[in-house]
Amino acid sequence: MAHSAEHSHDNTKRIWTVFWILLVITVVEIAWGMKVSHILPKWINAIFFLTLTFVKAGYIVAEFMHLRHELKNMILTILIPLLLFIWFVIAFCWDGGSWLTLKKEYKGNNTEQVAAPQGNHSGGH
Amino acid sequence: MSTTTVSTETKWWSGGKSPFNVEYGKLMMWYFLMSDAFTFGAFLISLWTQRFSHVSWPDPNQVFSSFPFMGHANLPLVFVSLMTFILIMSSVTMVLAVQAGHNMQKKETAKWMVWTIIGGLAFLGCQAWEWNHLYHQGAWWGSNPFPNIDGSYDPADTAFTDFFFTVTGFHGFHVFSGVVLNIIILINVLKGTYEKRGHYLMVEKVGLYWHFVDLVWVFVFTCYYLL
Repeated sequence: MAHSAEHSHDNTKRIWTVFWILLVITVVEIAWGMKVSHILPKWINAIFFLTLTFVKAGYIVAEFMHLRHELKNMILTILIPLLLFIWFVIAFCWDGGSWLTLKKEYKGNNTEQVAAPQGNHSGGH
Repeated sequence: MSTTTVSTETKWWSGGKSPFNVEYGKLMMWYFLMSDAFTFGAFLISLWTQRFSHVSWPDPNQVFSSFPFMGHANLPLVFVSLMTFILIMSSVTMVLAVQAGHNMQKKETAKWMVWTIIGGLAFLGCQAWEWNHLYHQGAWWGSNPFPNIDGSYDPADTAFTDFFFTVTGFHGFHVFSGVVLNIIILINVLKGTYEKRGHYLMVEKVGLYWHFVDLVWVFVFTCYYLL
């Protein structure tokens, strides 16, 4: 009985620690977003924000959702499927980037692009 | 004797018990949340596909710079920080409710559930205000009044507002469902259903859902307000 009471007290302390960590990270993110982000290159901001986002997500899932304390096999059935996101993110962002390149190319070489295929038009069909 | 030693070393896959040591409903809640993560992931990734295909994009510091009752004061990101704080706070009260349930404390569980519900409603109120404010600035699905950060502006390009309302709307709908579920569970706590049942696992299951809503907000916050 005494043991379980002690245990629950420890948990409550842990919960508040996690709360403060999440709060401090959020405050840092906002301060950075307001004051620092304009003067730095995009990719530094992206790495900074994404790292902190994943740290926050990790704390929420591991501590608040208690996943850290589940059995390893169960944790893996949740986390391994999420690896699909690696492909998901790379493939689609790449796609967006290639759209941008195409748009720019089309704008830049507008006349030639239209003219070139017309020359071969009858031969192609 | 020997059987007890075996079971304390736990052969999880020898049958007769859940190999994951998790109750069925809780495990299914986890798998549901995993699939929901892919739904939100699809939204956010398609948002990024759009952003990567755009030369420029509106500046969140300019778009989200209002606060209720502050008129035209320029307070970038302050309101959304408040919303984030409310959601983190309600996540904490939810963990405390789960913990009280573990210790079979009916009153404590109910108290923290009530705080969680209040937090959820406060968040929804904030979001309603923000949507209303943006709507009156001319933003809606199919209508984007915000110029890009490089100064260019194309009224026909409504990707920014379309994604904003779709993503935050879908998240807000999750918050709303979470509040409804929390209210149902609170009623059951007060009726003594879980006390009779001998465990408060249902509180734990809605708790998982509630934390997931907070988790999604962390990503929405980064993708829409920070980057």
